[in-house]
Amino acid sequence: MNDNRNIWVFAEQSDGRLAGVVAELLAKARELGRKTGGSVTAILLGDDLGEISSELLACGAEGVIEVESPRLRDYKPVPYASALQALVEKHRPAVLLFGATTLGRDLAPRLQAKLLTGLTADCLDLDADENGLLVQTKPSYGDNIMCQIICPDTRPQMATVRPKVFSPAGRIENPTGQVIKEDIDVPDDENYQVVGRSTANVCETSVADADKIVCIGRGACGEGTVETARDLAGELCAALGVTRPLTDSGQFTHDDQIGQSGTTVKPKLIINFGVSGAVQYTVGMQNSELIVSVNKNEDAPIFGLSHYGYVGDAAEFMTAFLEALKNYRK
Amino acid sequence: MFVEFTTEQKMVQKMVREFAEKEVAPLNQEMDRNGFPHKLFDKMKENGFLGIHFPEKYKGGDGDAVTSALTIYELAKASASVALALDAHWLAADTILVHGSEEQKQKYLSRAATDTIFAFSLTEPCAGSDAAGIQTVAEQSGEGYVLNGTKAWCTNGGVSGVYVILAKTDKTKGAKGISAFIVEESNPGLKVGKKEDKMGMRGSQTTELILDDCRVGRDALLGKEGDGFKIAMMALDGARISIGAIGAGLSETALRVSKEYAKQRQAFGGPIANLQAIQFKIAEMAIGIEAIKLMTFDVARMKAAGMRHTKEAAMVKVFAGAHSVQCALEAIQIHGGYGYSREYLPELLLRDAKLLQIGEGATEVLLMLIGRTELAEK
Amino acid sequence: MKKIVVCVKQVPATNDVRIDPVTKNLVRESVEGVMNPYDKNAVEEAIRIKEKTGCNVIAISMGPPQYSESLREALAMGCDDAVLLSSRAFGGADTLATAYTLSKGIERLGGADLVLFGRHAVDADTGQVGPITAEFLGLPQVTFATRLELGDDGWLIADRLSPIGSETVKVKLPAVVTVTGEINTPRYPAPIRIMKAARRDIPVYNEQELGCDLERIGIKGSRTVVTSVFTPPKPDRSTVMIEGNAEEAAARLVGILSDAGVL
Repeated sequence: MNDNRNIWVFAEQSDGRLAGVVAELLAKARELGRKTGGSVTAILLGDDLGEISSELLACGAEGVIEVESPRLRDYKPVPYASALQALVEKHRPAVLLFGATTLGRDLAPRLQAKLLTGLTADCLDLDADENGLLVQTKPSYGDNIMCQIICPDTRPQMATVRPKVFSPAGRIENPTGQVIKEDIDVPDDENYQVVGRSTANVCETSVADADKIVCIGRGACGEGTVETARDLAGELCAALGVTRPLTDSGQFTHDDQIGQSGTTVKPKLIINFGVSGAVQYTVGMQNSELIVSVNKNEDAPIFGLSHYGYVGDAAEFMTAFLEALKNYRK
Repeated sequence: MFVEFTTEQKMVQKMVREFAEKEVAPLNQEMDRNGFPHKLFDKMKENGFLGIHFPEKYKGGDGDAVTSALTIYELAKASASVALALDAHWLAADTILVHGSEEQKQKYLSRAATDTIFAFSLTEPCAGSDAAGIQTVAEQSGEGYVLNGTKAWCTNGGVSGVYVILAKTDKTKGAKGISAFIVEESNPGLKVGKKEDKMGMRGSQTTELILDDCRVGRDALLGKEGDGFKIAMMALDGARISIGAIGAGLSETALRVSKEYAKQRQAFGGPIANLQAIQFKIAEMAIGIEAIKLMTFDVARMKAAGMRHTKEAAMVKVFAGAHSVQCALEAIQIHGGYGYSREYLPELLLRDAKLLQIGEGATEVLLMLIGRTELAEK
Repeated sequence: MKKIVVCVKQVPATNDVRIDPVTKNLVRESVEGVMNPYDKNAVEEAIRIKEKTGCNVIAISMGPPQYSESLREALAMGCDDAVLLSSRAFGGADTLATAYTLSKGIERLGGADLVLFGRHAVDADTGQVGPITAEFLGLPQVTFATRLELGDDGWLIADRLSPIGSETVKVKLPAVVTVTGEINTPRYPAPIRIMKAARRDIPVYNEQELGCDLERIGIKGSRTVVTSVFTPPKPDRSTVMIEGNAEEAAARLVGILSDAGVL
């Protein structure tokens, strides 16, 4: 082992766009670096990388190591892992962080196996202990249990980190860090070809399986409101659910109903419009990860278990929200 | 409950539980409105439920009486109706399994295991508990028999491909004059009559059967002439274990929804589960459920071991029926107004539970049977 | 396609596990074990390929003796054989040591044309063992597969989740693939298969029989150390009320949802 304290952040990009998690990792890495005395380097692999390195410096990287090769144009696990292996063996960083994206979770373990070091998956927190060791907090059992994990004897200490748990830092104007271009002989992987890519996201429309749900209740079933709710659900890639009173309207079936006598749901996001929050409803959705509710009655029980609430007319807010979302998408 | 099931039994139980949770439970209230779930039964056929305890050579699952009781129990947690329909299928098919000739087993059991629902028909409009008093007759004619009469309360009537029907071959004898016949649904002399508009168990279909010069061959006779009553009584012993298993499953669901509701529902500054009045109800429900399960699986083991279990099966049925009704009533009481609403499960459980005190031997007749047996024993 | 090896893990039936307040250990003795749900998708996919090609499917697991329950379930679903890698020396393995042991097990089985995993186990939730095993076996990997199709000339075509949505890749067999829940709906094991699976003896291999390097298995072979386990604090349910008129509040909500990563 060496006494190198440097922290590396894998700068995941596709088609010249950095993944959002990279700026978050750089901010956290800087915080760790201040504790351990390590400097923060972003590792950027790809082809025709253009101005991405300046972007990384502006996001907090104190240096960037760039490897450009046509063999790194499309992400492929073996060429990427081999290039990283060569860099790690040359520079011996103490820490190597990845976003826990589908790419990071594909690449990091492949590299780990080449380096025979430790890797912690899907971390929710990172810290440095008194010896400068990376303390990695990861969830288990569906986030019910947290484990703190260290990698005491081998380097680098590797982790994938869940996106959106750290905040990116403010942009640095006129950053001073250096960009080093490394010339590495990247092996191709002839046994692996990327033959097509698609951005089409299929939206799950059944409330039972959906990641996101828009639910309308008695306070949001007026003329046109149901249609707006459908448009909103489409815009959000969400399923449209209803409370009990709407199931008899003929537009919805029992399968769309959330609650004790309907479906129990646990989406990442549920937005309730005009839902008062009777226990027969809330028991079916109270374990949702993020709950937003709009109701004109400020004493509505639904606010008691919501993370965010807005007191006002559900239909009016829905229209405004749909508009705001469309602007955001642009 | 500490009863060690075998690896086979535990694995089947786990499979059925998963199936019941995913495929059956979501349909429970829909079946209450729309009746027999044909598509669900198609899935049950594909997944080997119908012959779970038949030998492999008849395309069965090679399980035993405990396996079938566990199957019924897990299904009943999701829907008592579905469990009852399967019980009725086995009530008929088991008569062939136990009493059929090798030809009859070859001909019928693999159908019963894979693609055909069976029904058993003993009861008549004017003869239920007093089974020896049936009026349907089977007269010898040429190479076979001609059946005439009207049957009532035939569960799986109209959805079955094969019926096991009890009829008198000798009117001068009582119970000993009854014989059992296998009748195909396609037989022109067999007509499915009125569909009963039942209080509960509405996912199972129960009809009249009309036998109008229904001609069958000699090979339709199950066992010998005059064996019918004995065949029916033995089959009912097995079916009563199923009723115990249905009661255990149904009562457990009543307890589960009651516990969930009691923990959510707030009154007097806390969940009603904190109130002793509710805790007592939950306790009484749980105690009885434990007892039903112990009795049910114990009698199933007796059956699997080939022991006579007439009295014990009757005991299970009487106890399970009474406790299931009690559990459903308590579930309604705990749910208050919601328990009285069709939108919630407890009232459905009550309507389903009541059948358990009537079908496959009414409580009063079974009490007579148990009492007489006890008095005859030393 | 001649042989598929499916790697399965047994996990607690519920994620509702607690920590003993005194010993600080996980309380999970009473929790029933089940096959990891994504591993069922892997088993199902293997059996579907078997139904097309007539290949042999072997389920493999590393863990204590009771993990044979999940292997029996894999047999009941339609796998031809199952082996358990079990030894006290394997205990305490992290993903690196687990993948090493599994790769030795797969070598012991004479390798495979296709090695299938579930995308991750729902208890530890790492998803690392598949890719590490691929590296140790020197095979290409496809993770997060949502569709598999056997191509001509020994290639496998797979749709997989990617950061921008999905991509289609082609890999030369033999390969290691991890599958998502979308790939298929696992079948229920048929009762007759359950009976036969329950009565089967499942061979158990230890570190000697696999010819393992003793430095690379169990705790010794692990590079990570769990220093503490705790229950996360209950999420704060204090409600943040959004003020302003509908337009202002809507714009604010878009910002909140964007920050939360749900848009």
